[in-house]
Amino acid sequence: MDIALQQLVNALSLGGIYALLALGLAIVFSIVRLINFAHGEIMTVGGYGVFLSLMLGLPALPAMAVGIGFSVMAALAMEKVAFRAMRGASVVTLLITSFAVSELLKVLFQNGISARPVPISLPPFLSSTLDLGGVTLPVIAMVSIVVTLSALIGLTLLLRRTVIGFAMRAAAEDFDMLRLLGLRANTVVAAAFAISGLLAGIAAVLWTAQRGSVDPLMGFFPVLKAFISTVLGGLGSLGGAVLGGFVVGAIEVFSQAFLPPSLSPYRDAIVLTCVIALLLVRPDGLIPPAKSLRS
Amino acid sequence: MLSVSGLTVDYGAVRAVEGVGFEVGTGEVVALLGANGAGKTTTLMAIAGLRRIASGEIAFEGRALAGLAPEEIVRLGIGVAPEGRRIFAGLSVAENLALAAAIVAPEAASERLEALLARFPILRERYRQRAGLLSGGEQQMLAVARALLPAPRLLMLDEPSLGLAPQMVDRIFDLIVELKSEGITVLLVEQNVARSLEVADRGVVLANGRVALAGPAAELRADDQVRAAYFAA
Repeated sequence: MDIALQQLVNALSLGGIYALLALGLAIVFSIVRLINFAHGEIMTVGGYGVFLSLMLGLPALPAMAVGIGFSVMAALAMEKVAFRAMRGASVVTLLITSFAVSELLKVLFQNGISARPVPISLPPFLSSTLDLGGVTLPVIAMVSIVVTLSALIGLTLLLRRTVIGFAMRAAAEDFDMLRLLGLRANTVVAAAFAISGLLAGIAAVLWTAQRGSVDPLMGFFPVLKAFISTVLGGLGSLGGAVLGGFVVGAIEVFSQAFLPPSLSPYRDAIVLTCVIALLLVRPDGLIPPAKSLRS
Repeated sequence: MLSVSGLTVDYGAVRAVEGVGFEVGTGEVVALLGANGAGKTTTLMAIAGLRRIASGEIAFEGRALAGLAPEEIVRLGIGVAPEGRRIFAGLSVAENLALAAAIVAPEAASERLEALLARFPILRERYRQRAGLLSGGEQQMLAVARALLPAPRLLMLDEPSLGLAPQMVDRIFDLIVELKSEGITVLLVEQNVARSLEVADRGVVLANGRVALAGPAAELRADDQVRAAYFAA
């Protein structure tokens, strides 16, 4: 029972990070039809932001804030420099552009910083454990869950209570119509990228806090899982992205924890098989994106 | 107020509109008429900045619109209620209207919103409902209210009566008359030629992407060609 609870916490913690990343991908995709494979590098920039700030002597919390700020700025810069000129291009063109940006940034990290992981030392309490009624739980996993849930609640409030939130939801339905109401396309798209950067930055901080290092490929693998999560949830569906993130995280953690050791090399294959099985049952994803009900 | 001359629009290799020209004077209702595929909506979307023009000129109150983004054109004082209503189905009526109010100063926005809710009481009743749950007529009211909220000087309506019940069609055409009496200029795209020419001052008939006929509504109503093409049934 204790092990099950511990693994549930781990699953929520890992799934939360995938959910944050998947949500960032989904927000951008729902508006500009871009599957941004350079999203992982936005996360990596956040990790290096934390590393740089700690190296310059900033305390842990401000360093984490700087890391998140780096991710937001990286996302905004990426939109302005690489994707704005490509707006309206085909999905394939956008996809190739995002691959190009991703590769370019990876090379820059490798040659400009280091190809090897650089260590990050965060406050020791983050790597300690907490005893809750006889169950030992890692503090960082609990922090991850709380931060993820707070971020998701904050984003929900933004989307449901503010005009820029309405605009992003409307843009996902019919971007041209939003422009016919006089709302500036650049503002809405930049807001979407800023939010995706913010979520990637939060994910970066949680990821580095859990692993204690940053490397040029730091964002690549989690974003790959996040992409799988968005497809599983229903490409373009924000709720689906969150659910998909938690499902992929749960499958990954539980398969690692409860499968025989001889099957552990096949963990990713098992995760993908489960995703394929789910998609066979629900081809449009777990929560398909709402379609515009035009008459 | 609006001047269109030599307007040509292509869809890839297909020429959708060729050399179209007409004027819309301040306070007028001008009906852009024609069969399906005649180029009416393309012309409207070109004016709104959503279709790139191959050649020709469009000017609103003396200002050239070519090259301007749709949002900048709308901010000049042109409201658009496009074909198919295109309300944001997943947003509430209130959220749809809040987006339209986003380009208006807050004090003026609440005043105009109140006036529009008085004009379209059904929207007040449905204020918190998802717009996708409204009937076709109610959605059309929302689309028009959204376009009117920033108080445009020119309102472009694309097929506002399409697919609506006869009672709602009457309401739409009555509304156009009301707007005209309030001094709002209207460019109306419609397939309902008979009703359009009743409320319009002038008509422009498009056929195969070109202007086939243009003139005062009364003359067009009496024109044999128009009668044969649109009133025969």
